[in-house]
Amino acid sequence: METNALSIRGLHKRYGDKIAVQDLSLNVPKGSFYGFVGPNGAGKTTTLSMATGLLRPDAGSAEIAGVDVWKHPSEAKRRMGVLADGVLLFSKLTGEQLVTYAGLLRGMDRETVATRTEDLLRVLGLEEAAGKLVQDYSAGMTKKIALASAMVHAPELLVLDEPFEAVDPVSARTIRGLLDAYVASGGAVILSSHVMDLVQRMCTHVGIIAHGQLLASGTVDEVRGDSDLETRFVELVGLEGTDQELSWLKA
Amino acid sequence: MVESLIRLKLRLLGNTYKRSGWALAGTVIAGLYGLGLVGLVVTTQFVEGARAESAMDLLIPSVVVSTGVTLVWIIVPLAMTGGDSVMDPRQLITFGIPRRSLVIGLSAARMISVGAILTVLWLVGQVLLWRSDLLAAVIAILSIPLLLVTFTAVSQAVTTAASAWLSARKWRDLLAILGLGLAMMAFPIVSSAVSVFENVQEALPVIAEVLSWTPLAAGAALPYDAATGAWGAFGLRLLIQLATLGAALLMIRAALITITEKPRGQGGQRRSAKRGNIGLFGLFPATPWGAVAARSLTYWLKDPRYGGSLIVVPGLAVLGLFLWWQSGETWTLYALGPFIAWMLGYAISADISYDNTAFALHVTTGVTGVADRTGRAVSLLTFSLPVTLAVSVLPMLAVGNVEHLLVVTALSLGMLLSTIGLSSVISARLVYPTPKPGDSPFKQPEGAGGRMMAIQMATMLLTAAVMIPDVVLLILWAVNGADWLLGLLVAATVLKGVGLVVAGIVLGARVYERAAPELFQEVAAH
Repeated sequence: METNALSIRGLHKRYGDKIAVQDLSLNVPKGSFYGFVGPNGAGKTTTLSMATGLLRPDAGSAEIAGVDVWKHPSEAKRRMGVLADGVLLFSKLTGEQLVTYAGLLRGMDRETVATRTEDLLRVLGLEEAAGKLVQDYSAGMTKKIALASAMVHAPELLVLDEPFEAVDPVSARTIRGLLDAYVASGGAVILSSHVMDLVQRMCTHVGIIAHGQLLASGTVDEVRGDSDLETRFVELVGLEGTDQELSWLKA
Repeated sequence: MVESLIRLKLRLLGNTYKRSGWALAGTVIAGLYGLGLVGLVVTTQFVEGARAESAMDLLIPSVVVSTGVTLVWIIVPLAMTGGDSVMDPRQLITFGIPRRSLVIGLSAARMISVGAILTVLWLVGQVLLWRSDLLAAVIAILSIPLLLVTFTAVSQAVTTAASAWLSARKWRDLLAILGLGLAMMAFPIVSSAVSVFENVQEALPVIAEVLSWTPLAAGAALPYDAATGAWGAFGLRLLIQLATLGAALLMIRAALITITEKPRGQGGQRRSAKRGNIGLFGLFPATPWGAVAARSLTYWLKDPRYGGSLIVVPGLAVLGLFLWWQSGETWTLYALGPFIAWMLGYAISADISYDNTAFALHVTTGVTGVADRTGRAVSLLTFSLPVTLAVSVLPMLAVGNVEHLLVVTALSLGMLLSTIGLSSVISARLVYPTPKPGDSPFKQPEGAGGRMMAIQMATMLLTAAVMIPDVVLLILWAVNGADWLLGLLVAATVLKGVGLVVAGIVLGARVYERAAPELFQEVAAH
């Protein structure tokens, strides 16, 4: 019996001379809420792209509940929902059409798609905007509708790349509420972020990545030890710049 | 400050060319094309300058070309960029540049363009045109800077104003499509205008006279007044020209105030948010391919980038009819069906490029290649099939007989289906930079030109190759005239088309499934 919702083993990706992700392994246990944190350019998106079938790894594998993403893509993709970072949506569709589209692409029947779309729009507070084109959505609404598209098929695992970026506090709270309920019901979530505070509050597990390597991973309490997550993160990743002040910068 | 803006423009252009050789190639090609056109104009100016019998004979070319040049200065930047892309005043907001410097700087930076060089060449040609009268030639020389400055200012005014006040997406889309339609129709409009003039030569001086009192050509008519010694008219036209320049600068200023002081809001879209309305998704089967078809067709209807490629179709139909009407030649009517069929079939070859990174949804949901390919082909067929039938059957009802109707319809259908089959394979592997979602259909991304042209050329050659059997049969039938050859031609063309669609989808699906992640990475890189 596989106990990991997502199991990444030895993923490796290089672009020319630059190694983006180096022999990275991590496990997201079932029913866990996994925060994947690291500075910009650390390899978070590259790793998650390789785990979701968007980027072919040079080496290594990713399994969703024991199903290899690259060997059995359709089986694996059925089990996960993906919110990719920095990709556009089909924004000439209305919000309702977009979620419907995602459901139908997954081969779901019309009635189920319609019911779930309505539920998702209600829970995410997008009922009013259901008939509006996604191109007219705010950043927060866009993230929410993308999340709805990722969840409509009730996956076992959600892979969310930067779900809180550019999201206002109200939308962020709505998203958090939905994700908490999803994890409580047995689903697993891996989300990337660079907001330590948020990860410490929301997640059960955390993995810290820098320069393409996983520096620490485990439950939040294991990783942070006696200090808080941000302190631990800075310890691991290292400070940038120097402590010297700018002598001319004063009011 | 003005100098800094000009340097910025130069740097931006330089970086574009450094990044992509294709972009440089595109500019060079456009420049050569323009140079050819202007070369023709200047030659005419030179010849006319010696041949003309009266000052009026010189006024006509001056004014007509000036009108054209002004319109080009207005339309091209607007259509090409859907606003200001290289020097977007919005990006300069934070620098707190004094407004006067910004107005002048932006207009001056506009002079750094292929268009400005071509315009100067034409203005030099103006001097050659008026060389028979010394005073007129001197005025032509003196008016070069004035006209150039006015052109750039008017051009800047239009784009800045559009950027400030037409920011609602719909307006831009409409404008883009209108512009494309206009470009398409330019030939019939011009040639019917010419044919009208041929009958009423005497109308030209009147038209020239009228135009010379408008901002379109007042400046270009100044040498005429000098030549005829009409100094009162000279003063008035100079006033019109200066007023145009002043109005343009004021318009830039007003638009900049809107841009810098009233930042764009939420667009004020108040579409009624009716739930339960899933549009075309309700009409197509609730399957993955049905969903792809519904989504794709929605885009055909809503996205001007798709609509833009379609507007060519009615344009071609009108062009074909027009040529027939004017020359009495019927070949255009015979060619119409197959040619439009080819254009339509070719239209999905950029599908995934148009999706851009939204294509990620297809990858992460694990849509099968067959569903993706079928959906896109079906959405295209829903309208291209009736259109193809219409443009092949209707003309033949007018000029052909039953046999011609059968052959043309069959060839058109065969062409449509074969090209769709081919496009289904090609678009599953080859993507090229296209205008991004939400951009003007004219807005070519950096470095698109060369690669796009190469792929399009290859596709065109492949389609031609695929149609060889049909053409051979057509020739055999034309020579022999046997009925069985006609039957074979019709059956073979249509069946081959159907076969190619199926084969294209199957093969395209295989390619797609093998390469979908790479495809996504490529569109993401554009």
